[in-house]
This record gives sequence, C-alpha cells and structure tokens, in this order.
Amino acid sequence: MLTGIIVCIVFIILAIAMMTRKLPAILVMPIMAIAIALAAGMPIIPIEGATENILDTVLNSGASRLIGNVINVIFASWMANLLYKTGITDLMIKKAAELGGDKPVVVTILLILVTALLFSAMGGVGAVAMIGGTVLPILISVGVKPLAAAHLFMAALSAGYNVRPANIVTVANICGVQTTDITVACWILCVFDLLFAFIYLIVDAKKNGKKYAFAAPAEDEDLESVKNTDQVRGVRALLASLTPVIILACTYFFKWNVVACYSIGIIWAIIMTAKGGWSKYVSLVTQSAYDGVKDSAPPAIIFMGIGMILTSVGSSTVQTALTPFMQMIIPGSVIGLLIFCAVLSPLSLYRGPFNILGLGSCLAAGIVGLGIFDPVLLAAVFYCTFRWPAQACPTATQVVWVANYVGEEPVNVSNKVFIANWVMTAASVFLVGLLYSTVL
Amino acid sequence: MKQFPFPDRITARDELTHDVLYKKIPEEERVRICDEAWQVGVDAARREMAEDPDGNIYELAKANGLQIIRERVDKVSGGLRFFSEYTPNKSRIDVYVLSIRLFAKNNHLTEEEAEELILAHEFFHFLEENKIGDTSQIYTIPRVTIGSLKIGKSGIRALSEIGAHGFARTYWEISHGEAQLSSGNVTSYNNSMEARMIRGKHDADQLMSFMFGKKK
Repeated sequence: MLTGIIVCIVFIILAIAMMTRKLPAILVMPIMAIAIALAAGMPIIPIEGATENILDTVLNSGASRLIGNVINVIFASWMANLLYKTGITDLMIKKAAELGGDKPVVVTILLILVTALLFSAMGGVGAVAMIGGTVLPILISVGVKPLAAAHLFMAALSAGYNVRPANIVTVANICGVQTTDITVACWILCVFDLLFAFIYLIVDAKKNGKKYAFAAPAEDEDLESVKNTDQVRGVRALLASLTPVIILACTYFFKWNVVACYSIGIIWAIIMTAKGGWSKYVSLVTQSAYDGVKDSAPPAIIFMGIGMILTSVGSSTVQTALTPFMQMIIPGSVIGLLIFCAVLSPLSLYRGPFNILGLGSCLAAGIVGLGIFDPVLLAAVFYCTFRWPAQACPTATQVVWVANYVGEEPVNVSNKVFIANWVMTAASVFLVGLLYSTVL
Repeated sequence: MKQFPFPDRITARDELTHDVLYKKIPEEERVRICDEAWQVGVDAARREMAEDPDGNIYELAKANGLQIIRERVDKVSGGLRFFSEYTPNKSRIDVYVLSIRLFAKNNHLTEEEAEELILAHEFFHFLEENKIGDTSQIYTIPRVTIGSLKIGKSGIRALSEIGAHGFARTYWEISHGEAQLSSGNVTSYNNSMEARMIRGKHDADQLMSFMFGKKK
C-alpha cells in the first residue's frame, strides 16, 4: 500500500509540474515512467532473478510500444499536406462558402461540416494551420465573432478528430482493445461535437444577430502566393474532394488498417490531382511526405513517452505495488466509474489524468490492470473525456494556434466554453458508458 | 486589397475580388454592379446631407439611437484588421481606436477625421438595415447551378461594403467642404460642386423659411 501511495505522489507531483507548465509533456512522460517504476522497486539495469528492468522494459520496449501509431500519424499528416498543396482543401472550403452565399448561418454550418470532414482524414498542427487559415477568415468575414469562429472551428475539428482512424487506433492500442470495439463511441462523440457547434452557433446568432465589420487584411496580400494556378477543376476536383470519404469508407466499411486506408487515400488524391509536368508533381508529392513527417514530430515524441508510461504502469512490478491503492480509490461499479469520470473530467485538460493522450494513459493502464471493468468500456469512457481537451485545452497545439490566429489567449478561448464542455463531456460519458455496459 | 482602404469608385471594385462568390459573377457584370453599389452609397449620403447639412456623423448616430463604444485596441484577428463593427441587434457600433489611428496615419488624415469616416461607413449599414435595404441584393446569382437547372439565389456581400465605401467617401467629402479626397490623398479644394450644391440647397431652404415662415 505504501509503495502505491508513493507511486501516486510521484504521479501527482509530475502532473502538477506539467499542468503548471513547469515541465513540458515530452519530458514529463518519460520521467514519470521511470519515476513510477523506481518507486515500485523495479531495478534500473538487468539483474538476475528480475524479469523487468527500467532500461529494457520501460525505456526500450516502452519507446517503441506505440510505434505503429507514429506511422499512422505520419500518414495522416502526409495526406493533409498533399490535400493542401494540391489545392483540394481550399477548393472544398471555398465551394462550401459559395454554396452558403450571403447567408452567414448557412455558410457557417457548411464550413463546420467541411472542416469536420477534412479533419476526419487529416492530422497534425500543420493541417490545423492549413485549414484554419482558410476557414477562420471566411467565418469572420461573414460576421461571426472571432472568438465564436475559434470555438466553432475547434468543435468541427474535434468532430473530425473523433472519427479519424489514426486517433481511434491510438486509443484502442493504449487500452488494449480492437478499434472496431469503440467505433460506436467515436461516432457518438462526433455527433456530440457537431451538436456543440450547432447549438453554439444558434445561441450566438440569437444573441448577436447580423454583424457588419469594416476590416481589411492585416498584411499586404501577395496575390501570386495565394493563387493556386495548378488546381484541378471540374469532375476531377469533385472526385478529389471525396478523398476523406474514401479513407473513412475504407476504415469503417471495409475495416482495413490505417496505413492501408491512408495509402489508398493518398493514391486516390494523386490520381485525381496530378496535373502539369510529371517531375513537378512528383516533387510536390515527395515534399508533402517530408512535411508530413515534420508535422508528425510532436505527437511522435509524445507517443514514445506514452508508450513508456504504459509499459511502466502495466509491468508486473508496478501493478503489484499499485493495485491495492487503485482498488481503494477507483469505484467498483459502472455507475460509480461514470460519475468518477464525469465529475473529474476537467482533469483531462493540461494533458491531465483523464486525457488518454497524456497522463490519462497512466490512469487508464492502472484501471485496466485492476481487471474490474471491461477494457472496451474503459476505452470508450476515456475517449469521451479525451473529446474535451481535443477541442478546448489551452496546451493543445491546435487550440494554441487557433487562439493566436484570432487574437485571443488560449486560456480565454478554453475558459469561455468550460461549463459547456463539462456538461457535454458528462453527458457523453453517461450515454457511452451506459450503452457499452448494457447494450454493446 | 489595401491594408487601410479608403477607396474611391474605381479602387472600391477591389472589394468584390475578395467575395467568395466573385468567380461566379460574370466578368462583364463586375464593373457595372460595383459602380451600382457605389452609387447606392453616394445617393444615400447625398440624401442624408440634404436633410441635415450641418449635422455631423456623431449626432446622426445619436439621433438614430446608435451607441458608439470605443475600445483602445488595434484589433487584428484571423489575418484581418478591424476598424469598426456594427451590430444591428444591439444598435451598437464598436470602434477600435488604435486600428483607426493606423488608418488615419496611412491615409494622411487626423484621427478624428478617420473616426468620422469609419462611423459613416457603419452608418451606411445602419441605413441598409433600416431604410434603404440590403445593397448586397442589388445583384444575385444562383446558389447552385447544375446544367441549366438553377437553385436558390444569393446576393453579393461585398456590394454592401462597396456601398458603404461610397457613402463614407461622399459623406466625408461633403461634410468636409474645405478638403476633398482624391485617390487616398487629401488635396485641398474649396467649395466642391457637390458641397456647393447641397449647401446651396440648404441655404435656399433657410431663405425660403425666413421669408415665408415655411418649415423645412
């Protein structure tokens, strides 16, 4: 019990260090993995009689544990760069805006849907900048307040993220379940995010109504740089716009693996957008791949840290030390677990213990280790608490980028929707939790 | 588009190129509809000045129940710099003082002049909402076109802005009779034809009123 308490103290100290931004997540993750293993009494180097040690088990095996997810993220970022560089994202966004015409609410709804669709296939902060840089100015120019535009964009982004194959596989791997097990939860969360956006839009439109603004570009426009002369048009452009749908169909209908789905998406996009000189086009495809790898660097490093934590917490040494303590603090019933997760869901912010792509990986691994709950239920519930930080966590790179772009503080952007997100998260935790514990 | 736009009739056409529907407007129609929108603004300004040649934009706004809120910020958001915003539901115009300071500096105006100009711009939108109707609707295009099938119609939002530019420039030129603006520069001109005509009409009205006791 004492060892368990020490492990928890280590966890709390490092969590506070990360949440107060004294230490970045990429450092906290490996430090926490090692510190927890040390506190539980795991030897540092291989010794006779011990099956686990920090060098081999935590560092070596841990760092490569989620390597498959790193590859998935690279493919998602490559896809994002390819769609952007060939002008397809721009085309989809502008077509949606054209369809909305002079009706701000219609324009906004269409842009929310297109953004969600794009993020269901694309990933990385590069994609956020690429899509946000086009969507946000349109939203603001049709009269949506900058802060509201940021919230609507983030909700749409989160809706797409929730069904993005690369994300689902990551959560499934962390909790040790099949991706198909949590598909229903992913779509429910996608709908929740879209509902969030539409309710927000209705409330904002009722409160503020129409708006006129006298505004001009903050910087002189370089017309040549914004013009994509090589953009495909007509039927090929329409077919190229279906790339995210192709990827989703391969994932959910054919149930193929993520790399296969993205590869098909990339080949489809290449066929539909190839134009001009072949060498020039090949260079564009290659550059997209390089940029995709570059954009994937931050999540890749985080995944290595998460892998170390999962391996450390999942090791028999730590489990033996941690189980008595976890049994004491974790509720023993499903309803208790749902209340526990719903009430404490704000701790998913700042990559806290309810963020599955942060310290939540440690908590999830700890609860899975208890063997009280079905891992599928845990994966689904933890995915629900993960929806919030994906949409409005001040430390999430996408939130930081969007907040800066609209001239707001990330904390301000997140705090404005704090209560709404808490209610939404609690509702999704109960709906998904009850569904998975009774029906699915 | 310029960072600190104070367009005349010709340069205001640039506003249309930033409309999401720009490419759907037939090329041969673009200049015509821009000029038509500009003229809506010019006519509205002339009417307002004819009704009250001595009134300034602040009094006009106040008389129409508009609240003017000043915020001491240079409001840059989403790659755009905001000088002012008008919210019809709240009868409120927000002006961004530091943005306007930059506008004034870049257009060789005083801050007071720049603020008047920007308020006039927003006042045009007030007129659109309450008196003259939406300028964006003077030209519409089908929302969806599939072959010969055309579904729905949409106005062009940029036309409303062009009208507001036309209104602001005309209002400013008339009310500042001592100076006329030409292509973004202030050049001295005393008694422009426009200003003289409107002031002359006003003087004639006053003379008639004095002689015959006729109310304006």
